[in-house]
Amino acid sequence: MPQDTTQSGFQAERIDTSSKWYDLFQKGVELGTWNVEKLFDEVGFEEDREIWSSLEPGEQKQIRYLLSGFLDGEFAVGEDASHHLQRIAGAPCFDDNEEMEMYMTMFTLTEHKHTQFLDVYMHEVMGEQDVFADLNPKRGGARIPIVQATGLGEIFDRQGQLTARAAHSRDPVDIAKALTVYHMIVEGLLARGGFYSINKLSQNAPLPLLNHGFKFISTDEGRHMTHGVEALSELIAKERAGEPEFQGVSQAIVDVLYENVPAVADFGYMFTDAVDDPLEINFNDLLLRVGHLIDGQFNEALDLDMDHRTVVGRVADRHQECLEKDIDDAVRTYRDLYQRKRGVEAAADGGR
Amino acid sequence: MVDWFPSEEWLESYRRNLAEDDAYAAASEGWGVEFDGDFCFVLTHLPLEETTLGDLPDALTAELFDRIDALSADEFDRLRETATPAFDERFAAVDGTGESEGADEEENERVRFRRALSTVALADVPTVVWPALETHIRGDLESLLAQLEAYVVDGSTVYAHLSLEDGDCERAELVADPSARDPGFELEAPYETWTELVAGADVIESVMSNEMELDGDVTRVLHYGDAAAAMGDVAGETDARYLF
Ligand SMILES: [Fe+2]
Ligand SMILES: [Fe+2]
Repeated sequence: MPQDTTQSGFQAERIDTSSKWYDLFQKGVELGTWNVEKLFDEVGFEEDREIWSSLEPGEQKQIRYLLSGFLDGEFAVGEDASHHLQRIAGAPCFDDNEEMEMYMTMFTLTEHKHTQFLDVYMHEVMGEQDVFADLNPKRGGARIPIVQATGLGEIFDRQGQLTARAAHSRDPVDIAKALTVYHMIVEGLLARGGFYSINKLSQNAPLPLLNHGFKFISTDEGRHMTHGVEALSELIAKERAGEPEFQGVSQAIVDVLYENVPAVADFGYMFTDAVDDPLEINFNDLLLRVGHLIDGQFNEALDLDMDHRTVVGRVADRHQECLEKDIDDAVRTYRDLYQRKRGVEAAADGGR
Repeated sequence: MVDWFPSEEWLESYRRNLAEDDAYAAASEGWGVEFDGDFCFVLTHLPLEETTLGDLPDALTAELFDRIDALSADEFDRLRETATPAFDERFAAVDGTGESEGADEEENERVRFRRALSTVALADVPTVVWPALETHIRGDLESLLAQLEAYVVDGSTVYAHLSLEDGDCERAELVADPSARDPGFELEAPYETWTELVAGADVIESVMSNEMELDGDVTRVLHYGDAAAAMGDVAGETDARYLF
């Protein structure tokens, strides 16, 4: 039987063209296929290189940190999307949602393009730098020392664990946890907080190519968020309808938020007065922005009842820990550790 | 005086309760010691244009209307004759028929007078009210109308300054000229949102959900999250009767 018509009026036999995910898939095909290399050709690196070299070391450090977080983050979400989210989309709890599975291919494609954009951009504009890509090749290299040093790396580890577990068990509560850390926290709070920071820093460091790329990235991420909210809403609706295997979904979502929200402090540390914040991104503004996002996503979009005081308390505690930590020292520690690991791996290779 | 919200009197009760609150004292130890911890509460969108004297709670206005009723015919005439043109306009606009059928003309006049008075928006009180009428406005109503005149900025906003230091609140006052002060923190919201807070809503929740706007070192407020919460809780525990 033909399905309902779409905006463009097409109907199909197997595919439900009236599905939200069909719509996302179609939008992804239309908007998500911007060509990274073409963008590089069209806008060029020159102006960004010029501006970059005119920045003070402290300013460069801030941008480097922000983009390193993005690079490691995009890489992690790309990996977890192709390995785990694709399988999660096919889980029985989503009722053979063919359109969601179709959309996931677009989703994964865009995440890999985000990595492509960032990796090439950083190399071409900011110059050659050792990101220890040869280490831990299963995850595309070791995490960049500054990302590891602030603690931001932990959230990507957690995302890897929770998505892997959910892909394996395909249990609705496990899936709720995985989608929460992935779409609500990493994409919803950290990436969106990152876009906000990119926007703000561009007032002091107007890097045209970077802004161009991020305009595309944030549009793509808007669709990713829509998908995340829709998928979680479906799980919550089934829980509220009393379906036994969905019980615990809402609590799991809120618990994952409480557990992982301190990552906001790790991420924001580089914009605090403790590091002088030369590009004036302003940690206070970022915190309020993130607070509003949390409210919008969890209380409004998902209609849950999360407690702001708990969230605020956890972020404040982590922020305190960050203040007490010597980040430069931690970066050195990770560099040394990586170098030693390199030595060990080289020795192991030689022994083969 | 009853603790009408918003008013100087309510603010003073709040200050006293805050200064005596153990939870606040414990949570805000050190607050404002090495930084400016003063707060400015900004209440915007006070419905002064929309609210008329007749809309105010009866407890506030009953006395004024009783006084007008109790005037002798001569006294009433004198009051009527000295009215401002702005009042005369309102008087001409109200319908005096119906309510007191069979009553004499003088009594109908008085009904119309009361009705005309009831239609005066609070924002217009300073231009409509005249000295002879003012002598009949006493008690809480007199004090509140004087506060409106003294402290409302830009037609619908009121600023309250609280001095907060090391667990204490030594002063809390309405501010006629907010540009003369620059407190460390500012909390701004429409009047209606403040009434929700006074009725017990959570201040952190209100800020995070963008219903209230917090200006200042937000990180500090997060580190003193329990103090902020206690400030909200004390507001919820301070008796209030709402003007609007
Ligand atoms: Fe992405
Ligand atoms: Fe994404």
